[in-house]
Amino acid sequence: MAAVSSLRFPAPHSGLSRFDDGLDRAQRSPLIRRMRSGIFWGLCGLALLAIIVPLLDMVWTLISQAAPLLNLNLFTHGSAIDPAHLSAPIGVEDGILGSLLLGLGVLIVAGIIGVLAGLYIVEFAPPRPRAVMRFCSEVLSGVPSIVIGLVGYTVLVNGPLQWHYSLLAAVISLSVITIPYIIKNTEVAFDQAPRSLREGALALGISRFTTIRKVLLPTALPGIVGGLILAQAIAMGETAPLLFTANWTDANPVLKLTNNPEPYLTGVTYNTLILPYAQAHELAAAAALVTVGIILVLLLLGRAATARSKRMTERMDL
Amino acid sequence: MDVRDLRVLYRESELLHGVSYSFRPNAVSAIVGPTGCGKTTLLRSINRLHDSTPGMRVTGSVTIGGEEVYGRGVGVRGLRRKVGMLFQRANPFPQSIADNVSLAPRAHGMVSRHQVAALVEQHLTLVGLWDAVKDRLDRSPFHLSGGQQQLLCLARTLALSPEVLLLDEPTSALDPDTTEHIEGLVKQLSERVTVLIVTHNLAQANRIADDVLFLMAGSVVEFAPAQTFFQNPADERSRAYITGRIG
Ligand SMILES: Nc1ncnc2c1ncn2[C@@H]1O[C@H](COP(=O)(O)OP(=O)(O)O)[C@@H](O)[C@H]1O
Ligand SMILES: [Mg+2]
Repeated sequence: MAAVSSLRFPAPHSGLSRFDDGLDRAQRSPLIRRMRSGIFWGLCGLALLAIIVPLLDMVWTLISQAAPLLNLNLFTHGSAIDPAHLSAPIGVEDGILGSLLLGLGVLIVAGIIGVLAGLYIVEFAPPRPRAVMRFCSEVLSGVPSIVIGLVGYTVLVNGPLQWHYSLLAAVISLSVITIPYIIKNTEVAFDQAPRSLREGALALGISRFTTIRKVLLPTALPGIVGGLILAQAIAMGETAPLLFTANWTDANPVLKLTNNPEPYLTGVTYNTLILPYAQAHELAAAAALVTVGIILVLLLLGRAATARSKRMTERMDL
Repeated sequence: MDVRDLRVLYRESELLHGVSYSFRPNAVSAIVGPTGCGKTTLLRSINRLHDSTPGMRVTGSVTIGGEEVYGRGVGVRGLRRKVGMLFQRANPFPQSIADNVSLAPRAHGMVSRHQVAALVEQHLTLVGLWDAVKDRLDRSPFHLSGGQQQLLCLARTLALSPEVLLLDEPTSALDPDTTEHIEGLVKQLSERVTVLIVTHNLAQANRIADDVLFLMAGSVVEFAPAQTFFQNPADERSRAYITGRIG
């Protein structure tokens, strides 16, 4: 009996598994396996560093360059620099107020148009108009922003409409740039709502609008808000189209839609970096730092706005 | 409830080839048959769920209480209020547990604001879920077990006081205890409601059905009282299906 069993089963100390066909032994050698996993995790770590290091480096550079100006004056004083009084307190109050105003304008104009257009495309449009709208939106998203600024200039600022450099011309140009992003995000957000949810609502005889509002929106909201925040970040960061439409001023914004140049944060950076004073360079860095800070706050606000729907959809199979 | 010469076409292919039968009111009718024979397709014709699938066409007639479901001027939403449906997989809405129950009645204007809480309690109690969820009515339904989610969906459907209940393999993904619980509920509900239940599970059909409709490849093979169907089927194919030789 012992002879038979030793024929059937290799002795344990032979070092060969019964399932070992020898083909992938190299892959399963402990050393190679450890090396492979080491390389894999090493690359993951490098990728992580490649994201974090430039970000921290940028923020650190801005902080160190703007250091002398980092006090409350930053928020309470304008960016006008008087060469005769270089030690006078300066800040970016005008840029902050101007950029927030532009952001609000974009939120209203691009937000309403973009979300409604995205909703129409994904939930209501017949196939043909849907394809046309998608195509237009994609083309629009590929147009360089400076071209949109130029068109804004020739149509709104100094063309048929004669609004001159103004808040309205700037908001409309930024909206044209950001609407495609909002549309795309809205479309994707509604598209990924599970079919079973729509059917459940249909089977209860719930109207289309109630279904959108109560059933689909909770799953779509994070995506929509993501698009709006992306639009805000673009509005805060764009410079080229604003040069043609808002121009720039170092006075605080006034609530005048046309015929009045508009301040904005990147404009502060753009216009002070070229001045031959150390204070101006510090101000350029401070304006850039505040821009990054506002974008960060927007991201956090977005999280808060979607917290409830995230809570209601967590653990849902999408 | 009558179905006359019901045909369902998807593009060029016919999924149901002229189905005719009458369901007894306030009884449980089981629809059985091999996978892909058209059970779900049949169920979805009754609340007109095919309307929203491009390429799907339905001909023939379905009447409920003498009223033509596919008639001119029939309000589909009103129809679906009276004909409730439960799907194979639980599909709670991403709203609180309470809102899941009250959303449809509110959408149909059936309850006033101050009646909502009572309505929610009544229907969660009806399906036996109240004690498990009464302390977390404002929480997400996705933390409930699969069986509890399906019960919530049943409560949501019942909150519209339907006259007909369409159940598409409602227990196929559930544990035996919840399955038994739901079967008991269905039996109890059938005193007031006409129930059509699609099931893969012949034992389940045997337990709860008054009548059985046996479909194969889009055609009715046999429609008989459950006892007759299981003990003395008229058709050889029914016998083969029951004994497990086909399907
Ligand atoms: N939306 C649809 N589009 C195309 N074919 C469908 C659709 N729904 C069902 N079918 C087809 O109809 C037939 C019956 O399906 P179904 O009614 O779901 O069967 P079951 O009896 O398993 O519920 C199947 O062959 C299926 O492929
Ligand atoms: Mg089915």
